[in-house]
Amino acid sequence: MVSTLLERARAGDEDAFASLTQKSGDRLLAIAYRILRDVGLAEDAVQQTLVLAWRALPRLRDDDRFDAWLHRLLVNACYREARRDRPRVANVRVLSFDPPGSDDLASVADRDQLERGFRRLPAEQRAVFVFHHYLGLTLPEIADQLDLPIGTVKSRLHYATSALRAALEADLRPVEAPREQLA
Amino acid sequence: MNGSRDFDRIASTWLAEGPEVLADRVLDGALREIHRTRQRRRPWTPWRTFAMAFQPTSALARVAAAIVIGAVALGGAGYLLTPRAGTGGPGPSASQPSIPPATPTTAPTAHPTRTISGRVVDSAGTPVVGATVSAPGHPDTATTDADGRWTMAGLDPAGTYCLELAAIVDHGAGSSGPVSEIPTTLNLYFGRTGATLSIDRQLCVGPGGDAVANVSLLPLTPVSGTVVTASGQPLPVGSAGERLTGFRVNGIAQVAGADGWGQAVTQAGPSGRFTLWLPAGPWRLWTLALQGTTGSLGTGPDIVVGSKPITGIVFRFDGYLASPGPS
Repeated sequence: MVSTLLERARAGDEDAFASLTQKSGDRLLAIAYRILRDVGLAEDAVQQTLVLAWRALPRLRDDDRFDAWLHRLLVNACYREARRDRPRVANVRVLSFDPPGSDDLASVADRDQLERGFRRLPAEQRAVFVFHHYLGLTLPEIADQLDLPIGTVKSRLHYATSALRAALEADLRPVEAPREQLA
Repeated sequence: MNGSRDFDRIASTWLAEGPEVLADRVLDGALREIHRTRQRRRPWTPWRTFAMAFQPTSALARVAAAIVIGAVALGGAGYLLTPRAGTGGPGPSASQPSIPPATPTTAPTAHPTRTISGRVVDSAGTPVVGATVSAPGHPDTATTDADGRWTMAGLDPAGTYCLELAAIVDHGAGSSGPVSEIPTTLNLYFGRTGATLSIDRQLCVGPGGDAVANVSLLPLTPVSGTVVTASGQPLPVGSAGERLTGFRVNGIAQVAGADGWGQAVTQAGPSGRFTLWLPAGPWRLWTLALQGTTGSLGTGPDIVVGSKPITGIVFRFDGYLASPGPS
């Protein structure tokens, strides 16, 4: 089915391409949001990806690699969007804590620390982290999808994980950070 | 956190949160652009483009071209290798005003008990009257006098006391000027804009003799913006339905200082607008909207507060409003 749609889209059939994008759009947005942490930027990245995919589709040789190819286009679009400056719009995520309590507040704090730590990471490290922990891809699969050496994937994941673990562990320390020791 | 398994679980749970449905308008926009965009039928190579644009026809021209290209390449390499100002890493930032520290000093003496005292003044040196100072674990609470001074006596010299400073300043509803001033550091909690302001500061005094902890407050700058729906409409408004009440009634905006932890709390008004009063420095805004036993957390943006008001902050709720409303 996908192969047929690809063949038609490659021949210039916009309806076929629309069907393909409806299948892939949700997944692309989910990935882009998790890399960029901003719905507006993620939507822009997805739009860029779809337009680029349409333009370059005739050059796609292997239909079986359509998803991987699309992921690579998306990640490159995310890199571009990550460099854009749009600092004053916050997108509100839904987090459930049911019922409220100290454990839930700690969970909220964990999420906030992860969010802060993640935003400090380069987009390249974010992408590898998301592909591993959200898409569940192995390191060789990530290397294949992003066309990166396996060593690069390992190092990016290592640095991202270390930074986020440090962010979480910092949050677990007692609240001495804002204190001033007087004597 | 216990090992990598816990980290993987927390990370996966955190990553699982977020939108997973692409809005139709995004897809429609892409398809409109695609309709105007031609597909590339031939592989594109930079060299092919260059060769088409620049085709020296004589041997002399080819030599000249090689010289030019070499010079450009060397120049580019030199540029890349030349150290330039401003690339040596982070340094002091003029946009992040330094926060003058509190001025705690110690004066240890040999006493069976100890006394901790201090003075609270605003940035102009005016005493702050009626602020309370307490130390968890110690039953007494001190109150600043007309000169802003406070004293807490009878403390154990071997004990560590983390003091909390809290002041409530009532400016009355409808106050349009700066609400008040807050301490130089952290653990700040203040209530609704235009009504009351409470201040909470924590200072730890380790074992020793008598100690003095003076506090200087910083001026506040208004930071304002709106809370909107995914479609950009102010949140909440009456016609949107009772289910939005939870945001209006319980929605709060919180801030955390980059140099520590604290929070300022306010509410978006009926038009979705809010104003926070913050001291100078880097801050990160986030929202926490409670709906009964569930909530919604919105993170970012990062801002640097100076002496000028900041406007135009937008918190956009995506998707959440489609869920059943709160009670």
